[in-house]
Amino acid sequence: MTALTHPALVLIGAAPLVAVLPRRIGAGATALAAALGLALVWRLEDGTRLTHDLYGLELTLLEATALARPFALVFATVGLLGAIYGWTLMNPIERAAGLATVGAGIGVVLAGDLISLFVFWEFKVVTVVLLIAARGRPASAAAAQRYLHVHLAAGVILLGGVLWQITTTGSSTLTGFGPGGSGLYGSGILILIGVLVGAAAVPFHAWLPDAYPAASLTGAVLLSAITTKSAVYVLARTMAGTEILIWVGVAMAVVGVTFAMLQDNLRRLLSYHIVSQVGFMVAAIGVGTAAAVNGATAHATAHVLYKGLLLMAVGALIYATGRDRASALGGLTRALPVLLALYMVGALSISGLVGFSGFPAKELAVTSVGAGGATVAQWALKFASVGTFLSVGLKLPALAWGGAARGSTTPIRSIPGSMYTAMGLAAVANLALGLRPQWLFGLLPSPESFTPFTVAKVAESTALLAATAVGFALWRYRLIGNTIKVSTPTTSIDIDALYRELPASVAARRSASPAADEPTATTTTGTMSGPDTVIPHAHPRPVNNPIADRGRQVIAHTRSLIVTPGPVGPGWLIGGSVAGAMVLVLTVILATVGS
Amino acid sequence: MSQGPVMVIVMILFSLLATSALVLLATSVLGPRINRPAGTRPGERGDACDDAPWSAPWEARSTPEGRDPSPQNRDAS
Repeated sequence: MTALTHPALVLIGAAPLVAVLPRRIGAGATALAAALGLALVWRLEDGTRLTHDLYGLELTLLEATALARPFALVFATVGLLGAIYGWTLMNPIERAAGLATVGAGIGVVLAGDLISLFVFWEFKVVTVVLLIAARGRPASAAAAQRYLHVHLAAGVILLGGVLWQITTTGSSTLTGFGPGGSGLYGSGILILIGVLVGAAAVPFHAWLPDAYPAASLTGAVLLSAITTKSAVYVLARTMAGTEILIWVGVAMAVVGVTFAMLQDNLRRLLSYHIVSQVGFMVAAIGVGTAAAVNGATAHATAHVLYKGLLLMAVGALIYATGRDRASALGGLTRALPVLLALYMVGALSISGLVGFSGFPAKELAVTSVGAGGATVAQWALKFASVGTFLSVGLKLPALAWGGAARGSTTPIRSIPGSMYTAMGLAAVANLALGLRPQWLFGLLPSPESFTPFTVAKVAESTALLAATAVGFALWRYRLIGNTIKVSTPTTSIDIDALYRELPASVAARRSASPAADEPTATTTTGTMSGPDTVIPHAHPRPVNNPIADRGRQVIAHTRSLIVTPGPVGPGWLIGGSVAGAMVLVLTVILATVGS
Repeated sequence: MSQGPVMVIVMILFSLLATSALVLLATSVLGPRINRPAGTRPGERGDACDDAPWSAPWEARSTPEGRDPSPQNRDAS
């Protein structure tokens, strides 16, 4: 094994190349590199290692384990699907960032020590920022900045945990921090917090529905596969059996599905469902038995495939119609029937209908949670399953495809064959794993004898979904009618209000009430409603005093740097967060060195 | 009655209750309180609606009919 055959390094190395190639050649090279990455992952055998000596510290850049392999395999698969899907869509930066993101995700799951894991983890943050910003819109740039700040702060906390562990034990071995693990308790807590932010665990989840809808159509597909699932892998590898994760997972499942019910934006709705579905995995990891870790892995594998398909289908819908709100669509059943069929494969998979990939995966995860003694958590996950089918399987297609066309009519743009090809392949994969669950179970870290196709399990699952459909029919007017009534786009306040709106409202209040001797309102620092909003000038500014004017401009500009509620919130908040995290790390290091 | 049919009935009742709870939670309790017009949050300025992705520069291209139907291009034409 050499660095030239490390799948992550190959993909990351190919990224700059595809960025400089002409459009068509670049698209082909991206697909070729992704296929090569998949082939390299496929031929990895358990126990394969790649080490590198760094100033006397042995780094394990690659350690193929039974747990890592399914994650790496499905990451590489979705990388190839993304390359096909985005063949005609992606710009050079997007292609490079996409390949590098997939490479970084594979690097995380194949890393064999804490330092390698951290380096790949943080590299992934950078590539994801590029992937979000590559859409080239103001909202994308703003979301990318918020993503960067949230994950930098989390990365600093993660680094604190890594350094604590290494400086105390003298080893960077990727060890377990859960029950029975040899990791330190304190460093484990810091690592847990850092990884939970990456997993979009409640209450650190708001970055996800903020960032994914802002990314490009292909970017969202790749993000849904890599970001949270690499965090799930790290949790499964290092934190299995940590009981608090059961309830963190339950909170994610319920909060995610509840907020998804409120969404009109197609991709934001699916983003909240990522939070919810990852909750299933986190809860199973919290149980920590071999069957539960298998369940989390199976669910992660299936989730990457069906969520990728859902985001591809919704992306194609946005591409075709130019609209990304369900309430602004409708009447598309005849115009886009194949797309509806492909979407429904993903929707029925995520809902856990028999015959689709979500059924064996979700059954294994939920059953293992119950078998681990967490009966309340098991029922909470079933509650979340109801909400999943309700919004992804029923509400979204009913709004987006069903009924009459709403809003102003625009011509439907032809969807490229490459997009259909990628969606078709993902649909086949979902059906294959649903009909042949042994293929999915064969990838799992421990031997799995779970049998999903029993009469009881099939009957229970079918009853759950059928009754949900009846409930949807009963509440249909209230559920869909409310969305149609919304004539303007809406957005939901989430936990990110803490770092987006509270400081902004404080700043706006300060801007709106200038001191009497400070007539600088015409150079307002802006309010939450945007830069176009100018607060009326309460005290007309005196004229014919250029020096005083210049002085006011400098003061206003300085203030704007500090308190402007811009795309990432006020600078003092971000700076304070990062500085606080750094102080935390320094404290940890000093305490460790002192002891 | 064996355990299987009982569980099916339980699942049906559970689903109906869960559906009702979620719908009411979303439409009556949470929705009116936490949903607000888009474009009124920091970072959404000037981009209140994400509609019309055709406006992305690298996505602007002609349709098979030879004309980009994006709103701004319609205006330009």
